[in-house]
Amino acid sequence: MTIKPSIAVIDDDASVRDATTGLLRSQGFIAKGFASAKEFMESNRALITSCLIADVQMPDVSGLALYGQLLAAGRPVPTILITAYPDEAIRERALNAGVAAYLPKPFTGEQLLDCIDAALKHTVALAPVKPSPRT
Amino acid sequence: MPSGESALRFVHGRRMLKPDPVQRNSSRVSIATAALLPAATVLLAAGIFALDTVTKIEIAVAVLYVAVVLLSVGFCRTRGVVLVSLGCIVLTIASFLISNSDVQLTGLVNCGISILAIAATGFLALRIESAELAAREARAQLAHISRVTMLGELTASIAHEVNQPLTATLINGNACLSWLGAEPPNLEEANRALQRIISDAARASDVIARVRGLFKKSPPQKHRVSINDVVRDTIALTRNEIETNRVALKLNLANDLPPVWGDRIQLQQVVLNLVLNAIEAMHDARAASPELLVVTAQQGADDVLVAVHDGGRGLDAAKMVQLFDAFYTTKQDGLGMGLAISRSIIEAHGGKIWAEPNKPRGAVFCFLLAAAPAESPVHAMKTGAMP
Repeated sequence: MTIKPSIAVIDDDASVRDATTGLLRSQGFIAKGFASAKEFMESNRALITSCLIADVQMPDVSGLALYGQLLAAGRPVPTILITAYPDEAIRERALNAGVAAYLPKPFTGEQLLDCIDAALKHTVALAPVKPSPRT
Repeated sequence: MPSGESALRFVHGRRMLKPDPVQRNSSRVSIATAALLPAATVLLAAGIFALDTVTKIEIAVAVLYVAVVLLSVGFCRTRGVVLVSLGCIVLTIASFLISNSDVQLTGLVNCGISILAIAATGFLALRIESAELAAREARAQLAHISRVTMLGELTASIAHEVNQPLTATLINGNACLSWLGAEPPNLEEANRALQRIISDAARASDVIARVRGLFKKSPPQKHRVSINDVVRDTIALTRNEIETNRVALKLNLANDLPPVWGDRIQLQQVVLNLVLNAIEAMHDARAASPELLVVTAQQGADDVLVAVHDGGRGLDAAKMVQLFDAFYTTKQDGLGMGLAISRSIIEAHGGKIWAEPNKPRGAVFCFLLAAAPAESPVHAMKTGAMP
């Protein structure tokens, strides 16, 4: 029996988080939701996560910043960023930094699953997240 | 319902009413600037010319022409002020030539001083005028930008609030299908996904309800409202636009109108929107002498009509109805919301709003409201309403 990949879903919006983990479990993945990047980093889950789905706009630490923290800690995780505020500049910055996909909300479950398939095959390039040019 | 044409005839057949105290602030000023000021200026110039020519005083009387130049700023555009200044200089030289048949040094010096003073005043007046104009334009621009920005922010936040439950619904739908398609189907999980879909849809409709509530902070405060007061108050708000665009304003308000039953602020919004549209239409059409006519009149026994006439480019007959649709606009930077909101306000008041062509050019926007039912004396006392 193969071990199903473990996927972490980090979104401060409970509906999106619960829906996403529900969909992943229906596909046989092991899925766990977190309301913030901090909650995820403090759990032991970070060590066994094969794929990360993170919202870009979250209070405190954004999805992109979380990805950067994992990279900096030498634990690159294939990451799909989801966002309700699509922004071309952030998309470019995220993809350049090695994020597997940048998915604007709303998206269908199928689109998300396609991204996960791709992300699980995706090798994270060890490029640091460039600081925002605006700051 | 009166036909548009009869409403128009009615409007034109009515005499101008004497301006009352409130009106004085708005229309009378415009009428005064339109007719009295130029006349006074011409008289003053003639007086100075006479004084300068006839008297042998050894002072530069023609310096007084600076007053003429300053007055002309009140009713002339740039070119007009330049022409008035040149005219004054010509008059100064004419006086000099007439009164000093034998050219004397004092006369020549006086004449030179006067010409310099007139030219300098004209120049400074134009500078001030253009600075004021720029400031007004900047203010108007800022108001427009902040309106657009606010709408943009509002739209983004509504989009975000609706996006979240919509995203969740889509994902839950896919999850539900997978649970049902599994072997054996996992009905319990499918059930849960469906429950989540229902609560997400409820959340999205909550957002819509909240947005609606935002625009309708409180139910309309309906009172007996004098539509003439609404028109005058609104005109007072638009004085800046009226003056900036040098619009000649005419108010033709019926004397003995019955009050209507409505929300004063909302009705003001409608009139404001129609008046600003009219001014803008004439500005865009570069009307030579823009004239704004606002008319109130009683229609039949129970209706009150408000009509805003402009001399703009007019409207395409085929688009008269479409005008009131949301997001429909004929303006380059318009949002297409003004008339849609106006229509919803008037319809919420049980009235009717429409557009028709003006003669000889331009458009007339009219709305019709039912007169408020007669109030019993006891009720009138309780509410403190004026009879």
